[in-house]
Amino acid sequence: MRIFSSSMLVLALFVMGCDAEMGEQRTSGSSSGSAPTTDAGGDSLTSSGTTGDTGTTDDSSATDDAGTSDDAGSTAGAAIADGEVALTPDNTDVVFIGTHADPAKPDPRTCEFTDFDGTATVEDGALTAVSVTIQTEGITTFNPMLTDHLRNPDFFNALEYPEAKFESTSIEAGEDGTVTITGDLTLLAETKPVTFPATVSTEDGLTLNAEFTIDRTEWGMTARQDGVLKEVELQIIIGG
Amino acid sequence: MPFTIIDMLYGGLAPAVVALAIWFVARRVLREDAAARYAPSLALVIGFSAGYWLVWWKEAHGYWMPKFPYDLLAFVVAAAMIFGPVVHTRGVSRFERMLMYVLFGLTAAWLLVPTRPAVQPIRHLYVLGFGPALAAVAFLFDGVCERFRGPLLPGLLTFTGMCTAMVLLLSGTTSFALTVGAGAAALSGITVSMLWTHSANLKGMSLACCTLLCGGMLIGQFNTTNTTVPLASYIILPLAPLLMWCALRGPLSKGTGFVGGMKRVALPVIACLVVVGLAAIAGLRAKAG
Repeated sequence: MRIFSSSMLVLALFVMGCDAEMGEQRTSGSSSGSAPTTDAGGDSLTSSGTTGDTGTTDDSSATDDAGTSDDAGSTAGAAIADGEVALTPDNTDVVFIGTHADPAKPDPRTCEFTDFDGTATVEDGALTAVSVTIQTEGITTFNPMLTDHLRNPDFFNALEYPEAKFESTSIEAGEDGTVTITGDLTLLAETKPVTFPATVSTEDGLTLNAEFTIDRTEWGMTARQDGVLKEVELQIIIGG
Repeated sequence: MPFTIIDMLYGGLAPAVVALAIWFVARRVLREDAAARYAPSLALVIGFSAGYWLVWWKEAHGYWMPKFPYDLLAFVVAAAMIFGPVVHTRGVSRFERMLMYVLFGLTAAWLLVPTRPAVQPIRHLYVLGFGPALAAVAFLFDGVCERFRGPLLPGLLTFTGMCTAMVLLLSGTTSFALTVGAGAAALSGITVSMLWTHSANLKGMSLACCTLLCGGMLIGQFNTTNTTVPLASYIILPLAPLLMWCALRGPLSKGTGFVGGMKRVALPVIACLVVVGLAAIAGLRAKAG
């Protein structure tokens, strides 16, 4: 009986200690989760409706801290200051769409990063560089349980890999405002080159619109391929 | 449906069948004393490992050596497969066994608690807390194993394992749920085998079972960003089987047959159901709100 009592005492002490520490962990987790929440685009977007429906973050903030005066509702692009544009959730959407593997019920899920910062460089009216650092714990979806699943080790493993990065290495101009952007995408600590087309305008601030697909398994995000397709659609919208 | 048919086959059926087979092979091949200590442990851990590694192979993680502390759970449970029966060798006193459990618990905690910078400053506190806690749970559970024979106890452990997997699923990590689910499936194989070996004692697997349940909850709590599943869910579930102590005396100890068995497991089953219910309600509230 004495051993039973002392064992329970050890357990109780551990539980109390655990409770205090975990409380801190949870508080920090929820604070990042509450960073600029957005309407993440409803629960069943089709790819044709993604751009308009993904829900921009700036419905209540016409002017952000960086001094940009963009507005999701306006057609003006992100403000260019000294040849640079500060990319924030207020003027930029970084969205990805995962699709279920069951062809009879693909149920595309639109997810948005709401915590990132970056820079776009514009020289002589042309976009010359883009770099973005994303806090992976800032993923937001329409469903808190889906959000948790994406943040956890099955997918982004946000606690072990808190950051994802994109850094352009070259931007080639094409016709009619199109460009081809090549850069290094770092995800789960794996860095791989990606190349994607984009539509860019710098006439009234910077606007950029890009849609492309990556294979998540190339970055080591291999889990649940029998449930979720490995091809993930990415959408990046600056200014528009 | 978070699990596919392949998940069910690899993480559910395979561990159960392997555990069942190992149980009978071990009892036939090993000497009586060794079989009593090793058969439950070998059946649980080899069954669990079969499911774990099949799911690992299916998920194509791209690495086989542990990369994160949570990857070490399967190895820690495998170590408990040998360590548990060894400390039950005749001649080892209770005090010595408790000391060995504490040593094992501290080592397990040191391996399983994350090493990332956010945890690092107070990591030693977690290790010092979890190690003795695991030892205490395993030590108390030894007593439960000594007092309850037959399929009732492994049946309860199967149920507890399934509830643990459910909480991990609700916290948003399918792979952790599958890991503990494979252990629950192995326990179901042992439950079936106990229908033929009714008098067998399960104390040889006490440490491995407690390591799986407590370790599963530890990695679940530390490696998910979930803010809805209550902390109590992570802590109470591995302790639920210890409520069997309450069935040793008083009204719950009375009765025979099916009704008597149900009375003995009533408290742990209710505790598991309440914990899973709380986690599910918290998840639904978060979704609605």
